[in-house]
Amino acid sequence: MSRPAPFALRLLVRLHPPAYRRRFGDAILAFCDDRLAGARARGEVPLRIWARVLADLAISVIAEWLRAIVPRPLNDPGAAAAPRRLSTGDQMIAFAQEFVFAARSLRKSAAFSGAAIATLALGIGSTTAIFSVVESVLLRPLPFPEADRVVVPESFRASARGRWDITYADFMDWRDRKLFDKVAAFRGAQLDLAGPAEPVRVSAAVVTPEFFGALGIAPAKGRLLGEGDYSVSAARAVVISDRMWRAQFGARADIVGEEVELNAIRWPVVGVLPRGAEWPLDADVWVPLQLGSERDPDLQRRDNFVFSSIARLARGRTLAGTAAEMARLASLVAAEHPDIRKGISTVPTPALQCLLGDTTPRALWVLLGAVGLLLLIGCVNVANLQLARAAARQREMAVRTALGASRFRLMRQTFAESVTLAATGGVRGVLLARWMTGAIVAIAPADVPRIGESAVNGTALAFALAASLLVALLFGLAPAVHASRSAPAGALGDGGTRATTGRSGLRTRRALVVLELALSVLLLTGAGLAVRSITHLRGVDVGFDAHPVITASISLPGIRYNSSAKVVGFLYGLRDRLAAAPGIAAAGITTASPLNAGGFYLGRVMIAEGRGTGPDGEVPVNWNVATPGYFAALGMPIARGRDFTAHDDSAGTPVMIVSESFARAMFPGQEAIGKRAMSSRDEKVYREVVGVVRDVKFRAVRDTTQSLVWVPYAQNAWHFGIVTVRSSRGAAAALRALRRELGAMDHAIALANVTTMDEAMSRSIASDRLVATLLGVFATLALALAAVGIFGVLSYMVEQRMHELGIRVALGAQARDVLGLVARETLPMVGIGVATGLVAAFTLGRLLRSMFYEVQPGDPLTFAGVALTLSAIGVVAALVPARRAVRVDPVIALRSD
Amino acid sequence: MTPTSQTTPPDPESLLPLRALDVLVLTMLVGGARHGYGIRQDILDHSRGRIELEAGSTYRHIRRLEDDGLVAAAAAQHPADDDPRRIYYNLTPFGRKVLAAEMRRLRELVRLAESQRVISPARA
Repeated sequence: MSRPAPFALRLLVRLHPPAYRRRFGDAILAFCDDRLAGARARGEVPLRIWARVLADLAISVIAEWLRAIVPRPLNDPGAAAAPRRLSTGDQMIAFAQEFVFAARSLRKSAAFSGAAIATLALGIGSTTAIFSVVESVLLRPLPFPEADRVVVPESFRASARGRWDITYADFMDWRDRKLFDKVAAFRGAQLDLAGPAEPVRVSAAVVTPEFFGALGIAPAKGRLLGEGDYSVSAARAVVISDRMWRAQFGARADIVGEEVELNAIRWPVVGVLPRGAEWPLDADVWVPLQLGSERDPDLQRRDNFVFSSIARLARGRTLAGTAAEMARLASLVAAEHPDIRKGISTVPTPALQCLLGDTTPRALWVLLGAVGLLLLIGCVNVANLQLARAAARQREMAVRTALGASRFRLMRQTFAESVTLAATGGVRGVLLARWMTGAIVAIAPADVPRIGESAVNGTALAFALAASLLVALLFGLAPAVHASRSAPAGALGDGGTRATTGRSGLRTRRALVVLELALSVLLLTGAGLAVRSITHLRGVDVGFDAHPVITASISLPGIRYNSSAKVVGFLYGLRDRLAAAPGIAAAGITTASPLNAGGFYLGRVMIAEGRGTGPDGEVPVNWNVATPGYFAALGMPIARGRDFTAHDDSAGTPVMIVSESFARAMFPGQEAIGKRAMSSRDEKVYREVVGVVRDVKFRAVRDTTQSLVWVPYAQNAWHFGIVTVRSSRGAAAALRALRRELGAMDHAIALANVTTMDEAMSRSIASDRLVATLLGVFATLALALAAVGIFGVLSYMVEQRMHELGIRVALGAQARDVLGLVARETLPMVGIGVATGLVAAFTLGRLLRSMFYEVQPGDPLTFAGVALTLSAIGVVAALVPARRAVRVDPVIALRSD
Repeated sequence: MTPTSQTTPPDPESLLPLRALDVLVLTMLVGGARHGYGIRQDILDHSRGRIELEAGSTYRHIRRLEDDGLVAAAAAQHPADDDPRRIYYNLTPFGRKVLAAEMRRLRELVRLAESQRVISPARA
């Protein structure tokens, strides 16, 4: 007697198609019973048996359902055997024939194909272009072996954002405890390279012994810096980049042993790095850090955060493990030196992440998402086009079905057409992508790392291929299923094409309209917010008059300017000569230029006089050095007090000029002029405030105001300065004057980073501008596509009802009745689509709030504008064909087929 | 739409070559009616444990063979105390003809292999 089969088996049998279940269901259960009984009797492992049985039944479910969905033609069961017996060659021919037929069919409908291919090319091309940029900037690993194990140790404060450099003492801890496989510290330097023409400013890195080991690179020529190069008595040795080897030395083969003159010192080149393998990215020269002794008190300090670091994770150690260990060490240091290290810890950041920061990846992913939306909208359009075409071809499909074509065959055919369209669109798209990538690289801000390498390479092509196939699937599926569902009898009859719109076809079309509207709203809102953001950024009051100002940086070589007197004499002399030159309104020199136009941003802390020396009274400031005339040159009015004069020198009272924020923070409620404060960790000299200037946007237009301090060069001689010149005759004249005067004083000093403040301003918002531009372009394209698409679909839908509307008009319906009828059908779709899009846009806007500058995620102006635009498009798209319906002659409408 | 009946009998050769498992199933039915599990056991024994079918695949083959008219469900059940859910299958006359045609084809193939010394000729 049979027992009831186990639940799992009965369930799987239940899942089979009904017909199959009726035929074999019980027999299968009997089989399984016998099977299990037999297995038990033989003592076989139950788990294995169950696994086999269940897997087999699961496969059977799938196989039988597939067979049920795609039945064989009804008239000749034996004919189903025919495909089975086709040889591989025949099958391949049949496969190719599908595509030949598809191509022929598409060529006949030139308008349809043209529109579809153009739309697809646009979508696939734009997406591929953005992907190329994303790939080269975000995804491509750094050119070092096992690049994901290269990390940048940084210091950070748990309570505040932002990370900064490390101390040499911390570096020694990690090195001596073997926390990493290799770890190195380095400092950046700007050196003047003497060349055949004008001297050129190059970036250099002064490195500790394990630097190249941490990166893991091998030299392309010669050797890297070795143990012997680091002792103070060692011969000079320098490694140069591939870039410099090509640009400055013409890629000569005998470079090793050649000397380069940097800051008036000759260094022999011992090696050349491989192409692209630079760290930091802009460095061209690597020099060994030759220390007298590591016991130097400056190096032992725990608050001298002036070194950068690079390291390679130890074998068998993870990033998280290393981070925990670093945090532990940092907490020990904080316990030992609470006054300077409380709350400060260290962390290893993966090198690529450190390079890219936060804003760049987010902006690029947003762009990729936006262009993906554009592609989706394009797909929706093409799907609509295909549905329309399928409806027109229903008679053809019906005939073919009657002649014996299987549903599967029809589906395959429609699919072949979709793939052909997508492939053609994809190829055109790749051409578009190449142009677009070039354009993006051209207008992109230079500080986006690796963007210059963006090109449509193999990976991008593979992406384009995958995108094309996915797209074919997306827009091809619905029409293919529809094509295979045509009922022959209905379509072949007289009222064939009229009556066979099909309820499901209508539903699909409605859904597509709603989807298209929602996607367009999303994209347009994003673009709108970005445009508003950039408009705000442009209008920000930076705190100075940027217009006719140029800046250039110079660096005085220590060998010739080996005393403060010489440095000060040169800088003040240069300034005086410039100020006196014709056409120059004002000139000055400083150590850091606003809007990230160059210089050293030095952070210090200061305490007001009388506040004691504890950490409570400390105010973090940005410390700068300037000559007299700087503020006038920059157009930064001195609100109270005076500018520096020639008398503010080493013999005079230590003075400083401060910003409003500083005055408020340091001397709240009091007049700052005449008060004193000191830099509590280094100088420890009380300086008197002689002038107060308005707050200025220092690093970037998005900057929040900071406390700024300027001291005169004559009291704090730096070898570095940014010459700032204000000219009434234009930038070119100012630059000529600068070169002339500088050359007259010392022809071996290079002018570097020559820029106008306008350019600096523009550069500082360049990323935002790029994002806004691209989003604007995509949104405009999407709007055009959506408008055309929606108009087409709604017109088509109204046209399908022409017959019915004609009858109504003939029976006495008024114009407004007809309009009302159409409106009632189409307007809700428009409403739902726009509403859905707005909700999605609002949600997304909140997630990406930090990208936009002083724009609320629910910015009313943008949302209202987008809602109105798209609603208007929807309404017009609905009502124009409705009006046509109203005006049609009922007789014609009734007769139409 | 119901399938129309055949006016001319189908050609046995039109179904060749048969799938390997189909050949096995048909061969196992030569000896008399078997049910699904019985067919499975026979194949298992014949292949010395190498070919092990489960329920789904067995009935998939049976379904195909039944649809092509090579096997048919036996009209009456066998032993009265047997599991009534079991369906016993018989080889149809057409099925017999198809199996014969397939065996002839295989014999030709074996003869070719023997002539080419892939295997040594069977002793008569």
